[in-house]
Amino acid sequence: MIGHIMVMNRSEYYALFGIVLVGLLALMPGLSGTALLGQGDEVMHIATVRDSLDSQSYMVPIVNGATNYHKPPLLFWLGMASEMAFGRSMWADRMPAVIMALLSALAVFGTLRVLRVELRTAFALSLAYIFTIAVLKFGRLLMMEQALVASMSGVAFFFARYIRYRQLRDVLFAGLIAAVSYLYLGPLIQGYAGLLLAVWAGSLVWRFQLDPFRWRGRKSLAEVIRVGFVFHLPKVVPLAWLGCISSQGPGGSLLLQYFFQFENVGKFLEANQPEGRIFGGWLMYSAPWSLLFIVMVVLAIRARVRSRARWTAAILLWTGVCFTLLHLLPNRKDGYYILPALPLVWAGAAALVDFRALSLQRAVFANLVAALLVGVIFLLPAFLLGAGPGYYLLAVPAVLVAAVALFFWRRLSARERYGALFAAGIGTVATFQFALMPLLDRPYAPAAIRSQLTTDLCVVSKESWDGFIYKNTLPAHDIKHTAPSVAEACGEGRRGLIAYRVEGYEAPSGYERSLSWPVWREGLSADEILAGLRDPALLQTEIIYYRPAGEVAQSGGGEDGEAEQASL
Amino acid sequence: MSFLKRFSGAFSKQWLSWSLRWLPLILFIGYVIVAVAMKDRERDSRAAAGPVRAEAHANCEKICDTMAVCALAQFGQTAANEALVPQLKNNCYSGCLLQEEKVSVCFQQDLDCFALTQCAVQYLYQRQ
Repeated sequence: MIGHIMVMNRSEYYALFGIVLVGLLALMPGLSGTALLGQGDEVMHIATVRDSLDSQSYMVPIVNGATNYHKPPLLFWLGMASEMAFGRSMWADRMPAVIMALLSALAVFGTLRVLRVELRTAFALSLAYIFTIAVLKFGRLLMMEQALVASMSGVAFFFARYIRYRQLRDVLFAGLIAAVSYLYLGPLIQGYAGLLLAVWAGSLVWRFQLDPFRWRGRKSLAEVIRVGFVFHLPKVVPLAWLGCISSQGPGGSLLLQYFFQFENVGKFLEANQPEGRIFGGWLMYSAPWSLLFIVMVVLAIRARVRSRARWTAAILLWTGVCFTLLHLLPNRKDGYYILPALPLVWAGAAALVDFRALSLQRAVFANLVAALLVGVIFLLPAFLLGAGPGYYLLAVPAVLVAAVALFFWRRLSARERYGALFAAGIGTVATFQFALMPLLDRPYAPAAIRSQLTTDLCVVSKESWDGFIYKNTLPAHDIKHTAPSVAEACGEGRRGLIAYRVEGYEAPSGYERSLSWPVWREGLSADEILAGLRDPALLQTEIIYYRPAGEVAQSGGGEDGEAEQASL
Repeated sequence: MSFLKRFSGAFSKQWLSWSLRWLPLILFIGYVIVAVAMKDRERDSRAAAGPVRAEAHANCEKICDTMAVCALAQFGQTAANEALVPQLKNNCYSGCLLQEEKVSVCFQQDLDCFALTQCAVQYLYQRQ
């Protein structure tokens, strides 16, 4: 199949295999736990997958017994398929994201090769892409984002191939990916892919000769129309889905109305957020290579375009620029909105710059300094919280590589400098993901206390999705959720109560405090964090478990039935 | 003189060619800058007037109590409906925290249930 898409030599097959292998090694460890960068909606997605499977509602995903109208069904279907294949676990739920991350990295590699980037450089850049915070975060969560990134990278890959080789079947592939991706997040991907087409079409059609004045782009008009038509042919897929939903009577129409109004247009109506969030997204999600990446983009924007491959790269790059501008317009602005453009800009900029350029060498130096500083900062929590030797085995080499490379900077060749940054950057994110996050992790329900909870539980918290957290964490328990002010919603009196982040909560009569365990406090100010560095207890709050009075702990409870403190 | 004329001619032609080539992008950037600047001015004025998040929980309790009373008035104060009130209030509370900033103004006035619904819908859907 791959051979049909792209004629490849043996080295390229090895490179693809290497990318998949490194990707699995980077993304799989700790996949089933909570010691990873999270995103609020994921708990709802996992709850939807499990509720749908439990109630055998395969075609229409449901959550809490009602149709999930927040998002189209494809991601839920993938989650369901994964649970059916691998069993019920967080690991299985998140596997589709890992696959999407691998596909994204493969598409980045393929695009770089289409843009005539040398094999070893393309391989290294694809691996570096896997170790960005963007992929390390969303490639391990059941979220639409990594699927959207994989789709956009796929669209970019096939469209870049079309621009270089002029085969219409590549446009059809790109259109098919965009059309199927409608089932992840609705019309968003159509807008993103449309932007890529618009930048390409604009660069072809918007061409003039001044003396005498002549519209040179006119002769490209037919090609633009032809490509636009072929690209949009597969739109029958989302149209069929929309038709299917709307044919389900007034309920279906209302569902679509909700989806388009609240989930899509609603983004323009919410409270306006600062534009810095979008630019911050580029900085944060391209880490640990942010400084080098930003200098690469600036140099690439100024680079001369003298070949078809470089023109293709420029189209990807400018699509990313327009994408950023476009995302400044809606009121809702989250840093992770830039994710679908990251692979395009990554590949486009890399194909346009000369990696031996002095300004890029300086950026490597600055990036190494940043890696060294961050690496040293990562050692602080290890001292404060008493980390084991495994932590230092990851953290110290990363710091040493950066320090040694900076010390011997003048003696290093360009290749060695990039190699040092590559090692230090990967070491830094590996320390963050596999040492710091587990060290800081405070589980929602530690394994040691789970056997002492009643089978039927009620989560008392201010946000209803906190109920999903416990539903996913404790799949063997029957979980309800209630707001603290309406505790009677769980009023059967037989359910144990978990007071989750509700300070000053008093359980109804008939309950007694049984267990408590710490979690990190949220929304801390800088002063509070500084104070917490001296006394980490200030940074934590307690989750409290109240059991129904007279209910004896199921196992492991105190023999005298008295409340006990879980010292975790 | 002739040199200057030729130089300025070449310069203006080069400049014109550059501007024409990048015109769509320049227009797009200009549009984004103007739109963002206008929205930011609006945001500053609203931020000054908006309630603080700490008030949201208390406001939402009041809003959801009112909503439960209105729902019972509309659907009938039967035992079956009253049994649904706790869950109704619970769900109302969660959604309310997201929208409280927009609709709380309606609950500061003494409105009957019908006027309250109209007011909430009006504030919820109005373009900010």
